[in-house]
Amino acid sequence: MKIFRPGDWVALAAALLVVALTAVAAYGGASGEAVLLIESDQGRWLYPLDVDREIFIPGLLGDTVIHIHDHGVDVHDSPCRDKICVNAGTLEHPGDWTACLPNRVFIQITGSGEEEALDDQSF
Amino acid sequence: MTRVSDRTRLIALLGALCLFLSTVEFMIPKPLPFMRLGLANLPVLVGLSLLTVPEILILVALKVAGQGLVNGTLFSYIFLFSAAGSLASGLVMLLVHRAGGRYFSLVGISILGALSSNLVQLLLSRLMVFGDNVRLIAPPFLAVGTATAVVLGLVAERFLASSEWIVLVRKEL
Repeated sequence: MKIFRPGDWVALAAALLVVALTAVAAYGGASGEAVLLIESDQGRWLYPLDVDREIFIPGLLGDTVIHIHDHGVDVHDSPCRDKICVNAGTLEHPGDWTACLPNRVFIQITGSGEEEALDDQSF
Repeated sequence: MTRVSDRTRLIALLGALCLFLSTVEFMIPKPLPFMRLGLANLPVLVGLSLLTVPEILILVALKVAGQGLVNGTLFSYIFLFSAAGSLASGLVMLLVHRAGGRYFSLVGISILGALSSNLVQLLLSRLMVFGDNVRLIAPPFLAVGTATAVVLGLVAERFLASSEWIVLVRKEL
């Protein structure tokens, strides 16, 4: 049975092109020393990765608990049902990210090359 | 049994199938937040060639309601993402199917539907929740969406081609 028609390949090519473009936009220019960037609806925080610490980030539902150790980042606990971010494992490289959608907390390792990121680290 | 009631029953059946497939999808563990298979789109894909435009839109509404019920997000802001994505994908799939049906199988239609749903959801989450960070989520989100859309399209094509139930439905409508 022949399923594929010409338009299917066009659709597939278009979808892959969008994936490629977003990938270049996302991972193209990561440089500088890696830092931990955390955002919630309460604010934005930057942490260096070379000091081990425990961080409590206030979110929509409560505190998301994040551990920095051995240059890696773990979400230790979060007040959500699915615990996807807790089970996501350790973030280690620039571009690694995880998020607790119910608690509206976004966690990523990013290059600190951009001055913008450093300027609004405290609220 | 009148014609009207037969069609209504078909919409209800496909809507119920959406609810069931949402439940199946809910049980499958997701490695990353945002990852979806989109199983509940299967009845919509199948419905494209059976239902009229308003009937498809009703089916999409049933699908959104079913997903909201199963995921427990019916009265949370996440529901908005789901509704907007499903509506966008439903409209795009309808448009492609009606206007370019000769050039597209359900595989292509499914890919474009998934793409539009995912782009709308990314845009919404950029505006409402995560801001610029969404660009980090976009590539894997869109790639997985495309892959599952291909599989779903193939399944829908095979189903339409081989199902005896479909033959029966077409005869009765």
